[in-house]
Amino acid sequence: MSKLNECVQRIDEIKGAFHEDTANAALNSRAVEDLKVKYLGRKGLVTALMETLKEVSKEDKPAAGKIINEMRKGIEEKLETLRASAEEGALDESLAAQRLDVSLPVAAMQSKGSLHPVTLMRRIILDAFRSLGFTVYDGPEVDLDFYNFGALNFKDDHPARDMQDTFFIGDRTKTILRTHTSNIQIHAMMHEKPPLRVVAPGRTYRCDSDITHTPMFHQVEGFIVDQNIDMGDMKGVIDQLLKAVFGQDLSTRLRPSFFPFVEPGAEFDLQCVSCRGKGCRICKNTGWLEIGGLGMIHPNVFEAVGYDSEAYTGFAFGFGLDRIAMLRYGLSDLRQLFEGNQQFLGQFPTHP
Amino acid sequence: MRISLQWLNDYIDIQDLTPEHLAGELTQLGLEVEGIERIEPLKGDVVVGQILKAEQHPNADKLRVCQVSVGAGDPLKIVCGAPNARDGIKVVVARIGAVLPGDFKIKESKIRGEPSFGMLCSEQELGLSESQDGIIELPASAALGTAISSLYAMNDTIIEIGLTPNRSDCLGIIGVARDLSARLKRPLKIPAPVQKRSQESLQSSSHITVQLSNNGESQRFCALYVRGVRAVPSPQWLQRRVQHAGMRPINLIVDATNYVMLESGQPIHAYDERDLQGKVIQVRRAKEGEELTTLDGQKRKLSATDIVIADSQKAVGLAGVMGGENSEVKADTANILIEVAHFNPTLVRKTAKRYAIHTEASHRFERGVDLQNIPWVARRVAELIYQGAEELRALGIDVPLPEIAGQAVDVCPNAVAPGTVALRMPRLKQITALPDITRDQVVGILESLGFKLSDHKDDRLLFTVPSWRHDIEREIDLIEEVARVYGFDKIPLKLPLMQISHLPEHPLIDFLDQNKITLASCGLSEVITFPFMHAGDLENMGIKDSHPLAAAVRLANPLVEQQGLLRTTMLPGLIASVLENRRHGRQGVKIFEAARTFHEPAKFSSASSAAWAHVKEQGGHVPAKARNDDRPIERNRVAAILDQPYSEKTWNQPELKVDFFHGKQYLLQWTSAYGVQSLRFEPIQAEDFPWLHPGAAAAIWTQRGRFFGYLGQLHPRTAKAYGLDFQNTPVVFEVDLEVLLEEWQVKRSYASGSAKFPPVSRDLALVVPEAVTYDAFMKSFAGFKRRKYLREQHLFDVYQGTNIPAGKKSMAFSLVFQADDKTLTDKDVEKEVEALLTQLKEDLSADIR
Repeated sequence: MSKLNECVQRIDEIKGAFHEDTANAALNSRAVEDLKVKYLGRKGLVTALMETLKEVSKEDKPAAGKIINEMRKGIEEKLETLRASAEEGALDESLAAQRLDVSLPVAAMQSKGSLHPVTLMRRIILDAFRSLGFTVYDGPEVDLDFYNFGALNFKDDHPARDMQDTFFIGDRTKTILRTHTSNIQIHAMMHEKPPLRVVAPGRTYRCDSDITHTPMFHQVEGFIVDQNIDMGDMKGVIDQLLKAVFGQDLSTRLRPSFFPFVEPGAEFDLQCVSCRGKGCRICKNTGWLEIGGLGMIHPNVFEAVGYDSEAYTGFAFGFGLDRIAMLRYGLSDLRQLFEGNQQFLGQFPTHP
Repeated sequence: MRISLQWLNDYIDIQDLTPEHLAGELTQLGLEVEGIERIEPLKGDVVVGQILKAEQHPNADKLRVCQVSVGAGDPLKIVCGAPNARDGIKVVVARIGAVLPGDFKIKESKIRGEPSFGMLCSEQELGLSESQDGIIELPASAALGTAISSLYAMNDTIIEIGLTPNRSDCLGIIGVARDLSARLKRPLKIPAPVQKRSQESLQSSSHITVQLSNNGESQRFCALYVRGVRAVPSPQWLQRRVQHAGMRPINLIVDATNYVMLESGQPIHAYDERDLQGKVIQVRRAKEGEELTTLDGQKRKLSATDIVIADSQKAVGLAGVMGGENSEVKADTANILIEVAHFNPTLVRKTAKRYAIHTEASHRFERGVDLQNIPWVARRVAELIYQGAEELRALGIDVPLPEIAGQAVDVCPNAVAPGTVALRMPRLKQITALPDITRDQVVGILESLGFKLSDHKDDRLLFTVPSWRHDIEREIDLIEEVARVYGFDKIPLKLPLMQISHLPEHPLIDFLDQNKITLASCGLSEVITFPFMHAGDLENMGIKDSHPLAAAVRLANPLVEQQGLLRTTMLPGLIASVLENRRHGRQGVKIFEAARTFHEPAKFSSASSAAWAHVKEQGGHVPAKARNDDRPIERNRVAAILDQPYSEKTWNQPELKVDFFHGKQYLLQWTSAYGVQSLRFEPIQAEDFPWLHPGAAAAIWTQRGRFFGYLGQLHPRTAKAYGLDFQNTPVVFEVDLEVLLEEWQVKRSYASGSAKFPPVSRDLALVVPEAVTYDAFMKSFAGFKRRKYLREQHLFDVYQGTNIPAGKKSMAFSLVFQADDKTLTDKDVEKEVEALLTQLKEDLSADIR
């Protein structure tokens, strides 16, 4: 038997042994490493076979070297495949041991903030006004009688003043907490020139406290002054605004009423937001909700601020923001708005 | 104002209209309907009956067994305990099944063994009066079986209207009828007192002289003499009308005055002639300190602005408000003077306010009465007394027929000419947006309201104003009258054509809303609290009189003492909210409020405080013109409170206490949304912030040196005073929103692009004396003279303890170096670190650890 044949026979034996060694079930990394030593290590079977090459005849050497190398390459590749799969298996096994109770609760990354429903409503209303070209105007909460009453055609010692229970400031004469946002009408008109399209939200005060009244509450005042503004404009604008806030399908109506600073004056009603006019508990079965007051700005008011009451006409309207917020968010207790209870207030969103 | 429809029907035919329909019309006229009430006090059979026979009850001394006929059918057997139950009298019979007021059901019963099939009723049982004088004895003329409710006019429907203060004319039912007559186009029927009953030979002036002091107290005073009256109960219909209107029936004379007041809106008073000394009535100002006991039994010390009615000796009435006890109509009154007058509305209002008595009379006098109608009213009252007596006599009641004087004493010093107001048709059309309304329609409406077209030229119509309409002064008033009667519902809906507005908005307004959204997004929850506080809050917070925040605006009429001052700081409201939540078992709330504080400049003490100097400046929302008014200061503030704990314990984290730095995190997260980060936090001067922990609080200043606000842990003393845990106190901050706005508006420059060469970082631990602050490090870094590549420095450790000498601490910074033009070498960095260490050593005695 030539040395070459001997060598080929040895290769077959090694291949057979290797095949046998790797035919077993999945090998772990350690076993793969052992096989690598057994076959390819310094004293491994393949290495030993390479040693025998020097005994092969010169002419047979290239052929023998080639087949040994092919075998070596095959073993290397197989071992690499086995090593990779053993690593995969090991990873799977270790991950399988790391099971979380994914149902465990977590705390919020930070406390949840919220906006007050009156703030949310204020934002919605101001957006509606701004989209109709109104400018938002502001004014003081502690004001002089002149701005809150006098210039608004409330005559001194007239019973009309009893319509609004007024907080008076001690140590000062003719200074009060504003009873309505209408004082801003006077501030705006005295400060600016017509034409004006102004909306004025704010806190207002009356010394009254019961289930449906709080000493501090919120109002929104709006007014338009220009040449040729008429009652039709007044009806149209208030209708548009209420529709923008509450829904296009609701209609509005006016009922004549009296506020010293407007004439003709009226109260305005909105079809009930809950029953859409059919009659329910919220609207006391009338189908309508009283929202606020409005009217054509009284010429006496224009004259008090130095406007030409013949050239200019306009209308003003005002309503309570708290009530609107309660309607919109379906709230039943006015006083709850101002008690700061987070179980109640915390449920509102952080954006309008 | 309660309007009886039965009564209203006397002046305008409305029987065909439902109460709901009428309510709708009234509302459309501006007479707001507040409710509809149906009055039907008796249900079932309550009818006229007659006692045929009243026999002694076999088992009870005080009871009688009566055989009662109710017309049809067999007589009823009814047991009755009234002493006046006797044969022959006509009585009120409540039959089985009837229900009397108070839900008193009449059932078949046995009384002491005798069956009883109904009840004979007293006035009290019918709800007519409190009288318990036995059962009612009806006149012999009452027909058997007639329903008592119709005999006594007991059923009615009341429409309650809420009158606005301008409509004094509708304080009488005739006024309401007049509005309806204009709206419904139906005639108005005003009763005319029958003049012929007056005795021409009987002159009021022989019994009374009226003297008006001429100082604006009264523009007209009418006194009518009536002889031979008696204060007996009025006829039932009259009593019922007065009662349904909400007043108490008293006697014929008083009821007649009340009735005509309710009818006409003119208050009336009747005096017993005997009580007027010297046969004189004076209308004058009270003498300072003069005493008068009013009808309500109160003895009052009068003031010189009160108007009194007086005789030659004494005051007998507080004019326009309440009569005097010393001259009221009494049981034995025989001759009376009916007073119908005008009194100065302002003076009446002041008197009513001073004594806090609001009466039907003062309510009407304050709003103004109809001067022209005064003589009619006097006649009408006398007529009603006469008519009442006549009716009572027909029922067999012994009442004299009164004699009415032919002439009243009518003093009217300065006759007031009726006012006139012009109405231009084009102006009416322009304002109402009713281009098609015609002149005839306008004149028709105004005339039906009592206006007279006195002159006209082209489209200009001149109207005489009726004497009862004090609210009509100028053209716009007429326009309103036309519009409301014509119908607001007929005005078209349109939108105004306007120039695009150029009015700029004050930036603070939207800024406020935006900030609320940002604060909420940072995790704070908004509250709105009342802006009141009281001296106790200042005390709790340790604020002394000399502190700028002690300068609070005081309310003259707070609802409760706890709301006596306007807040100068937002804290009391927030602390109250925390307490409210704690009461409900909720801890750890994190809440904010954005609102105003109020400051009284007159109370600022001379003690100066750099921090609080800003409360002397008016907030930006006060228009420039109003700043010149002497008025309290308003500042726009944002304040927050973080209650303990910061977070509750959870399965993966222990409970975390709120500390100063949590507050700082919230504050900076919020302000950084507006590009404001470089705020200076400085230790506080305790006297400026006595409610804060002196060591765990900071005054916050902007880079430009404006005081922004404060942040800190609440002082244990303040926490304790409010009943909060004083070991772990909440963290609070309160800042001035306008300062933030200013900072936000500062123009900033921003770097464009990003660096191309990689940054290199080095960590440096430095040992410095304990007192060296982070801020001092930052200043030293900022002043690093040989800076070439240092871009950022982050503090990552503060340490005291083992290996650090006493009185020293270690602060470790992570430094970032970067160049624009090259990749830095170790050598570049070493060189710069070297230079930095030299500077830190010089500035802060810092040694490398």
